[in-house]
This record gives sequence, C-alpha cells and structure tokens, in this order.
Amino acid sequence: MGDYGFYIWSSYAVMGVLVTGLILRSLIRYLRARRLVDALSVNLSKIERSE
Amino acid sequence: MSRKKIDWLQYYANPHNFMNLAQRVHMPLWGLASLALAYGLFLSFNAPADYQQGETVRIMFIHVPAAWLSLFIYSFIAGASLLALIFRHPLGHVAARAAAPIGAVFTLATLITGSLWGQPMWGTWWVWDARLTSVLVLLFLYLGYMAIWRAIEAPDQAAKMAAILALVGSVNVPIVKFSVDWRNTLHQPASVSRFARPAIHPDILYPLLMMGGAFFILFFALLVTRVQAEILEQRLRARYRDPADG
Repeated sequence: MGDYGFYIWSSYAVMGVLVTGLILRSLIRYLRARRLVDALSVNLSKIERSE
Repeated sequence: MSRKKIDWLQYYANPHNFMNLAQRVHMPLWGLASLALAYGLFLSFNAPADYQQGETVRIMFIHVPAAWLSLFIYSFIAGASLLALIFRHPLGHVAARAAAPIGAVFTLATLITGSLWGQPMWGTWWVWDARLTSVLVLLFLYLGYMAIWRAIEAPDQAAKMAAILALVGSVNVPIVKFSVDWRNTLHQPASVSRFARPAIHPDILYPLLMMGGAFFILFFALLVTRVQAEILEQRLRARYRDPADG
C-alpha cells in the first residue's frame, strides 16, 4: 500500500464500521420485533384457548 | 401502468402477502450479499494499482458503489413515496422510511471515503465544488426525511410530509449526477457509464462492478429486514392501541 496505507485502510475501516453498525441495528430491531410478536401470539392463543 | 403491474402492486399492498415473500427471500438475500461482498473485497485487494492513482484506486472500489447506492436509494424513496401518495400503497411509506437510514449511511460513507481519497490525490480533504456540495445536500435531505418521521407524532401526517420532502428533494438527484458535466469541478466526470468507449481498464472495472453488485444486494437484504421489522412493530402498536385488547 506504500505511502497511502493510512488513507486506504481508514476508508475500509470507516465503511466497515458504518455498514456493520447498520446491519446489526437492522437485524436486532427485526429479531426484537419478531420475538415480541411471536410471544404475543402465543399468549393470545393461550388466552383464547382458556376462554 | 399495465393491468398486470397494478395487480402485482395490489397483491403486495397486503402486508401479509409481503411478509410471506420476505420470509422466503430474507436468508438467501443475506447469504448472497455476504458471498458477493467477500468476493468483491477479494477482487478489490487483488486488483493492480492504477497508473495514475496508484494504490488509492482501492478506495474507489468502495467509494463509487456507495455513491451509486446513495443516489439509487434516494430515487427509490422518491418512487415509493409517489406510489404511496398516488395509489395509496400501504407499503410505499414503510419501504421509503426503511430505506432512508440505509441511504444516509451510504451517503455519509461516500463523503468520508471521497475525502480520504481527495487528500492524497487532490491535496485537500474538501472543496466546495458542485459534486461534493450536492452530495452533502443529499445527506441533509436524508437526515431531514428521517427527522420528519421522528418529529411528527401522527403517522399519516408524518408520512405525507416526508413523502413531499422526498419528492421535492428528488430534484437534487440529477444535479448530483450531472454536476460534473454542467460545471467545471475538481471531481472527475463519469467514467463507468461510458459503455461505448470504456474509460476504465477491465482489471479495475470488474472489481468495481462486483462491489457495486454486492452493495446493491446488501441494500435489498437490509431493506427487506427493515420493512419486516417496521410491519411487525406496526402490528405491535396496533395491538397495544386497540382498546378491545385492554
């Protein structure tokens, strides 16, 4: 990479941090919502069965 | 718009139908995005140095695809907003809202990586030329769009205001694209889209196109995930708002 290593690695590091952050936030948000909806559906079906 | 297209749009207007499709394509999209990114990175670091830019050409392999994506995502948001306003497609606003943070991240990445390339090549981190300034305006449009969704509590009103901003802001997309042709800028003119007379050697062009493809697949994987999360959260909000459920 010669004299330009700092610029090249910084670019890839910035891109990596930004994209990884976006991926993690998106997946965590999806998994949290999925888990809540699934839990709610199970609870509702239990209530409906008990009624 | 043809009858078949309208039927297709109406079918996926039902969030249940969309969720069925999304659950089928979700994992394959993430798998494909991972493979494409890994191969793109492999090509990027094995490409020869450019005769003018030297090793810094490797920054182009992430900077240029990020710039393509930032323009594409804003056009997507404007298109989805138009679809929501005209056809009242319920997924239009959801898709546009889900895409905005992705676009903002890639626009920010474009500006930072461009700056990191500009310093060794131009001798400056930043110049107020037409291309750089219009991309900065694009970032502000993304942030403004996201701020409207956060600032207005009534979802219908927020959706309408955000859609109007997206449509008005879409004027900036051709300005970004053609700024290098209309004005005398430090930023070089388009070189990849000149298919009639390629301006890039295939050794540089292939890694660039591979990374471009990988970024686009990643965008669709992120979009599908975020739209699913948004629909699930809407279901939860609707459940908790409904007084019949206590």
